[in-house]
Amino acid sequence: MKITLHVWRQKSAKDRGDFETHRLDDVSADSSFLEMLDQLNDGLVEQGREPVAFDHDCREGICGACGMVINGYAHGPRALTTACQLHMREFGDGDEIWIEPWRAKAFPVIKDLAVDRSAFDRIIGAGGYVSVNTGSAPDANEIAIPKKIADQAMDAATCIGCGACVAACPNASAMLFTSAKVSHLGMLPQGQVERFDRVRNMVAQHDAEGFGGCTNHGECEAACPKGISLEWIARMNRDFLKAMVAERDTVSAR
Amino acid sequence: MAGQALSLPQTTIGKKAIMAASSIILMGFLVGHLGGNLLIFADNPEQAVNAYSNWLREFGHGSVIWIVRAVLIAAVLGHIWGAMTITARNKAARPVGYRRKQSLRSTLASRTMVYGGMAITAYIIYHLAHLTFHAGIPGGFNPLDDPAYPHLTTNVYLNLVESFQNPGIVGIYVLAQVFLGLHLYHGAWSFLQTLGASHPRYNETRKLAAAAFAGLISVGFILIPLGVQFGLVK
Ligand code: HEM
Ligand code: SF4
Ligand code: FES
Repeated sequence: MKITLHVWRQKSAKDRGDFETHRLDDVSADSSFLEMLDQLNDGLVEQGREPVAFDHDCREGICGACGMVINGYAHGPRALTTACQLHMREFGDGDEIWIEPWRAKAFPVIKDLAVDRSAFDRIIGAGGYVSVNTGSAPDANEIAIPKKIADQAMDAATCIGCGACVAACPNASAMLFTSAKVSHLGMLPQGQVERFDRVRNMVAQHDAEGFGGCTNHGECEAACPKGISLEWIARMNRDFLKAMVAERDTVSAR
Repeated sequence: MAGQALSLPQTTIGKKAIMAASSIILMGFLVGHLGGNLLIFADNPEQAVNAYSNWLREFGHGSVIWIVRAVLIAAVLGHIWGAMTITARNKAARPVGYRRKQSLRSTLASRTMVYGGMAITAYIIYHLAHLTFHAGIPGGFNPLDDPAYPHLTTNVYLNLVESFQNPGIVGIYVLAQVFLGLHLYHGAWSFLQTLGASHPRYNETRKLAAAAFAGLISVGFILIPLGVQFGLVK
């Protein structure tokens, strides 16, 4: 198939950047979106030009490295699908495709389509963990967890940290990500000790990074390749308000 | 962790919770205000409206209306403060926008909350000037000195009827209610989500109830100017 690409090119965080147009004449409908970009880059390298920088790693939809806004949709038009799992058969012969990086103050562009998502790491660092004693491994079934609770915690834990929720949100808010990370631990017995410190600290870090606030548009839920639900945001809000209004610090000293 | 000693209003969730709490007060007011105003469709509307208005000023030896006004002003200010700080923050969070952006789930209502809010604010100012301070009533100030309504200095019923015979004033009121309805269509489910009320058991109902509430409030208020305009008020 033939396609026309309008790709965002930006040399560095300081560069202004602009779209660059490329035509590809023999793209296989069976190639993935990233393979199509590889094909573009092969051509650019042959011409001695800079290839388009984009993040990717597993290419099987589980690592969360890839991510770009394709024709106005985070990860492209197919629901519940990362950019790496998107295939060119989703597009028509002769289509024009616009590719832009995630846009958020907290995700500065490094180069072209690659953005710096270390703000997510700092949110995790602020509380997305449980403290355990090292030493001999605990018995696997020492703490009984009801199947339904384990399933729900797993639903939240499927967040791959890709940032599509931020990209899709009209407010560039990272509340879907933060709520998934707050909740998958907060659901489990092991996560109870730090539960209220966790939500306080992770939300404070979320805000400090310069993400916007949630106004309940729901764009994040629709864009999320893992189907993380808005219900997690409501749950985080419950925990956060309780933590702020009624709960003392449990672990961390202020 | 350094810098964690935040207070609720400093956080994005806290600001939204303040907006949600104040909106509960404002929505409660809307229900009461609509209920009272619909008295204009009573059999003897002049008597019903003026008696109700007199009662508002008399209730609790005249203290309740001032308490309610104070609470409403606080709620409006809290709501607007939250809206302004959140909006400023959200605009700053995306300095470079998209060339192409498609919406999947957001609604016209959710995307226009701040504009609708500004329109409602303008309307509240106009509405207070109009019917509380009696500026721009077509027939002029309607003095009332009736021992049956000792707390009224003006004929509230006549103010309404004279005003809503003017199509321009009717237009302003109807338009304002369209904005209000849109604001509530998103707001009335959003405040529950903000306060953490979400469960698959009732989430569908939550959306429907919000839409119904928005529709009933805005249609209810629209009936009043239209009712006068089209002679449905006795
Ligand atoms: C078309 C529909 C409406 C009509 C006919 C109407 C009518 C009135 C009337 C007659 C008064 C004066 C009451 C009195 O002096 O006894 C009043 C006051 C007021 N209205 Fe409305 N109203 C409408 C919609 C609204 C809406 C949507 C709001 C916004 C939330 C609102 C906010 C107020 C406020 C804040 C007052 C002042 C209450 C006070 O005096 O303390 N009204 N309205
Ligand atoms: S919540 Fe969904 S969209 Fe957001 S980072 Fe996690 S997987 Fe990606
Ligand atoms: S490259 Fe790992 S999820 Fe796309």
